Amino acid sequence: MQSLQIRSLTKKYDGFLLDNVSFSVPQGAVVGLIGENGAGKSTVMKSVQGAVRADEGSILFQGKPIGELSREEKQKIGFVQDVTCLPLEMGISMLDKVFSHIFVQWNSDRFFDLCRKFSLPEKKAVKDFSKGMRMKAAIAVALSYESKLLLLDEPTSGLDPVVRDEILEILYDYMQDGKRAILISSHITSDLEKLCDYIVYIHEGRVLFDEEKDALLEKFVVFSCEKSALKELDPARVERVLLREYGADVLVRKDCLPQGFCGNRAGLDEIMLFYAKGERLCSDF
Amino acid sequence: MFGLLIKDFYNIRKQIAWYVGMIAMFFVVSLSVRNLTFSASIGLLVTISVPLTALAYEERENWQRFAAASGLGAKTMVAEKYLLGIVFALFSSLAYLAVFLICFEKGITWIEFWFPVCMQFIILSVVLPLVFRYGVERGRTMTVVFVVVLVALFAAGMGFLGERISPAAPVAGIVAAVTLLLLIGSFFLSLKIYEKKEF
Repeated sequence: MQSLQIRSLTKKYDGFLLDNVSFSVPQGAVVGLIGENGAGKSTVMKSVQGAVRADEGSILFQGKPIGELSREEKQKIGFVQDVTCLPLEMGISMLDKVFSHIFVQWNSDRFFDLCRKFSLPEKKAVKDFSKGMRMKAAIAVALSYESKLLLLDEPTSGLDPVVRDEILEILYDYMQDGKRAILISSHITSDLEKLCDYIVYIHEGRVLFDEEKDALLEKFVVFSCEKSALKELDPARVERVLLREYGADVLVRKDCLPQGFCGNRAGLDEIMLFYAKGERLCSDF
Repeated sequence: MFGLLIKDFYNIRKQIAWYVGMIAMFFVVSLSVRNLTFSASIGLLVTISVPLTALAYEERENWQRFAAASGLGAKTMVAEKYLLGIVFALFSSLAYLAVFLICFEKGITWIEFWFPVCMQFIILSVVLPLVFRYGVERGRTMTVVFVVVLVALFAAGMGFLGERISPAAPVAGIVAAVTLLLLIGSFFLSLKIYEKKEF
């Protein structure tokens, strides 16, 4: 069963087009959204949240268009954003009072438990929290109203490795019952490699690939060679080439690795880099 | 709606304390010099300043995006800001009523009470759509210009109206009806503006 389905999502801004983006988030799965700055990840997230209206296409949550969801149904989608949206002047107990009137299924006990677990100071206002604490507070809010899908827009950006690891642990816990799903966008691909089941790569407003993470990480290898050696390669078997000052790096499918070359497994960072900055091999090389 | 209201009360509680203090101070000044204008003017300022301050905080905190994602509709978001303004308009009107009753003497008519009270709602009706449309920064500039002009007109016109419009009841009714219509129209205009916004 699909938790979230995005079909042909299109949104036009001055100088940017999110073009016909389609992918799904299955129930029980974590889907990672990767792409360069300005690729369209946040536009996708905002569209799912209802903060941006798509020009074309549809977004279904548990089979129902998001525009037709009741307030209670919409609150089955939890969210955490790169910039905290929590009221900065409030402390933990004030947040609890406010959100208990905003979220239909707000669970105060769970919220305070999470705040204690995250060591969030009860007396301080959110504005006095560190960046990591603010992110944890936002996650505590998102996990306190019985959501079935969690949207995370750059939740670990700018955080130190210890806090990032804690946040990943929280997300593992969230997925334990197998009935929930996460859509997470991040530049920190090492986090996505640990957490995700599927990877969707958006480049210049289009989905370049939407694949199972393990299959994707097994799919490509990278090798380096002299520029002159590029002429000997079959362009049909080369995905992308990155020209360097003293040679070239080549991304190929594992089963297309030319004889005599030794390739290393390509990580998400490398795959992204090759697709964003690399070129296709042609006769000009 | 209640959640949004208490959110604003908590979030701008320091500013609210400041505005309440100003109402109290102008109340005392009005009584000391036995001049209604001080107490009447502060109501205009507070009525619009409170929702404007709350909106400024929401812009800073990306609250509108949070609200949209939480299933809080445009109607709820817009109505809450009007309600916030109305609550403070009524509060400052009560202070003004007290001053009016204490200072009431021969020659003063009820229109001098009614006119500034309605002005608070009129100013709210004009400023909120501007702020929803142009954002707090630009909206605030427009508000300052609008308030200065309105207060000048109001100060000049209050005595004039008090002297010339003696049958207070029908005039007060007309002014109240116009104010109410303006407020309702303003709400629907703000709603239309907000529904088109993206965050």
